Amino acid sequence: MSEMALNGLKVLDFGWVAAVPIMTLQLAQHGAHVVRVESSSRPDASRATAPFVDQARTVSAAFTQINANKQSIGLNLKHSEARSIILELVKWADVLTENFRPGTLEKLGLGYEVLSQANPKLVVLRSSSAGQVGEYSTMAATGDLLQSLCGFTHLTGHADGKPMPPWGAWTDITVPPMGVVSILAAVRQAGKTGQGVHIDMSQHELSVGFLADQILAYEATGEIPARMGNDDLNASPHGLFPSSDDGWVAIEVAHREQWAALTAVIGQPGWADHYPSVDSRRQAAYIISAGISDWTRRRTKAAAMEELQRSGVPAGIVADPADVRKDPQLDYREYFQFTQEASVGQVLSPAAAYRLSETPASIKTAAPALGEHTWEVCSEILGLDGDRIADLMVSGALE
Amino acid sequence: MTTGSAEQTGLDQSLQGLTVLEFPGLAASFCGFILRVHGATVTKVEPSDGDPQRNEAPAIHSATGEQTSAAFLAYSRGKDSVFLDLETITGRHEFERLARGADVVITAPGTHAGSACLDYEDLKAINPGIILTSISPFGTSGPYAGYTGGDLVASAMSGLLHLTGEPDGQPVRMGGQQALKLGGAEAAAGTMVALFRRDSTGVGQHVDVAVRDAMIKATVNAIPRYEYEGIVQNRVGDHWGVRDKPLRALWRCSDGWVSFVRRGGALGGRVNQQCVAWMAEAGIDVTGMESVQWDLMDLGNPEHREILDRLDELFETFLAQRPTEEVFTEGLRRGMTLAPVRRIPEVLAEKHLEQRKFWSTVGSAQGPLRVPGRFVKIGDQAPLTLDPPTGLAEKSSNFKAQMEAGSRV
Repeated sequence: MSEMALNGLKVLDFGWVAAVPIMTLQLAQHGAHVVRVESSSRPDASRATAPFVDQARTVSAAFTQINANKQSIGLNLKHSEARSIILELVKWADVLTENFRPGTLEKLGLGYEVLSQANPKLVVLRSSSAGQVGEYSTMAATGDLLQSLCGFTHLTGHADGKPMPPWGAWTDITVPPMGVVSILAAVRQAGKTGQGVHIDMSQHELSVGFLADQILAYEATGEIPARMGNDDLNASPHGLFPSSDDGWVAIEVAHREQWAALTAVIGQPGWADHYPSVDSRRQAAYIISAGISDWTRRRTKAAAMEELQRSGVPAGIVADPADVRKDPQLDYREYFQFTQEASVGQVLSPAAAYRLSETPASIKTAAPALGEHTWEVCSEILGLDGDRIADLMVSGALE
Repeated sequence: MTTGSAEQTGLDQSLQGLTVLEFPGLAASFCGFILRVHGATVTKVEPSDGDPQRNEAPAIHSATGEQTSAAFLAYSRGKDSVFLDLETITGRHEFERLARGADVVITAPGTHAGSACLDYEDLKAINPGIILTSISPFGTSGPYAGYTGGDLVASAMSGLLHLTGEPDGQPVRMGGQQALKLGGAEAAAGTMVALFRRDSTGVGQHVDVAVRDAMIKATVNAIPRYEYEGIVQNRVGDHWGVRDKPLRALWRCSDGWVSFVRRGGALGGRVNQQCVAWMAEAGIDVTGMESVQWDLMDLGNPEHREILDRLDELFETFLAQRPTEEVFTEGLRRGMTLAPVRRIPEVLAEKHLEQRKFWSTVGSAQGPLRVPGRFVKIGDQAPLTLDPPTGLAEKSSNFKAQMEAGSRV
């Protein structure tokens, strides 16, 4: 078996729904041993979220695409035996991840002090909407609300239109890579000092960090940053142009060489020197846009992109989900992978956004059914014998 | 040299001693900034006339009076710069000298002018333990390997652009160059994964990041929906969700907007109950609504959906007469899942963020300006403070200091 970068890293994951499971997916894809703790009274809501892999709607693609390579132990957190089982798992783990509402672990008698007493080197990542303390800390907010609270919704949309919620939940996308960074940085620190680390991850704060330049601009100028559609302050032309197949071609020209290349491709070489600067092109946007559209309208989006890219002009198709699924570059790099799920067969398990040359990621097992590895985790990690595991199952502690 | 001065506080120490070289481009500088906040020493490798990002809009004046850009000041805080012409032999030699002593090199070819396209095998020959993190639009292999594109192209090719905006209008990208920043964040994650491996084996590697692949993650369930149901999801405008009848996600208040998505079942039951109670207390006629068993309402059931839609209509009129702040405060008190659509000044005014000592400042000609601090809070970490980036005027003295530092190695 080939080595993976995070082989040896052990993660106990209480994460739920999107952001934390996507974070631990990155760890699992690169070889970390991730054990998800779930309970049948409160299964991960994404298990019941459309779209489903099968007609009978038993296996959710929303769940399977972000939980490959992980194990699942079914544990009733409210059962009197649950706490001691968790503390044994904590002794095994290097990292514990969770996104309960702040205060929940404490209510379960599993506050940070208890956890670090059980395992002084443990890294604990606590992810929540707005952090463990502060007036919004107990706020019930999902990513679709947080993206508005952070400022993303206001900044998205056409200049003359209303705010536009970005598709999905942007904070569920910013959180995973930042979580991976802070976990691995903390594990490194704990390895050096022998002391564990407590990470208070506010999804709100972390995501506001993705708008630091807009915030600084406002602080310096007093002008409230506004939405500007597909326009850009530092590039022109910069936008979408219609194609012959009812689609759009995205073109962004930031530099003079790109502009010269574009004018040559669309048969307007005189424009290169006539509109030499971004400012001059912004002023003539109407004429330039008409010229480009006249050219793109006579080509399919794919053909236009191809021709522009070959000449050094940054361009791309506005891909719909079908285009993305069939994209030749993603196909070449095997972005869409499949794994064998026990009950429904092959399930889609996309690759990570980064590829490692020496220790590539590998998707080996499909997302687990709830409690699929309860027996395995109890015997192999906790060293419990069969009778004890059976007792715990009968008592309802294990599921 | 500014790095390591007493001015830098609140830094996480976990990457202390890690030396990072960073080529131009927003994605690279966001990646380098994340590593910097965790304690790495980051040196920007700029062309001899400076990183073109310094000249971008909106412009801010630094404490020394020099013009810089908001993005440069925001994400190059706490970093030093060296200025090298890699076209010259001296420049190449100087870069090789720096690379011999570096742990990580970050570059963003194809997304930004001035970001070098480095060959991992060449770098490995100089320094076998080095991690090369390259952030390109589509990755460094395959038919699109040499293609260029920034925020808009990566968003367009990811499917996210197609999904955002009015259903019958032009697709629209997210504000604030999010594709390049996400590419930078994923690059930082990939770098840390490679570093974990290197810490135990001493072996470096190439971390090949594709900005477009990062953005595909944001399309969430749209691709599985195509894969398993054959449905090509379209934009849902100010609505939400991959269902045949999407749910309303944006509501007008008297002075702004709030985000709120009606949910069914047990999850939405309590919130919908509160919604009715709130309107009843305000004297709104909610006849027929008080007796509904909200936790049994199923969004997929057309009859239930009709009741939920009627609740939406009442709530729409109710919210339109009230200011955002009142709606948010009362919503919070009632445990409702709603949040205001904040503009930047309102994000800055958030009392919650002040309570958490989130904000940092960075020096400018106008004095200290507020800027987001740490990404996550580690232990009882102090608020983050980082020095402004190296100014172009400091170029010559800085280069001399680098040479002296190098001669000690």
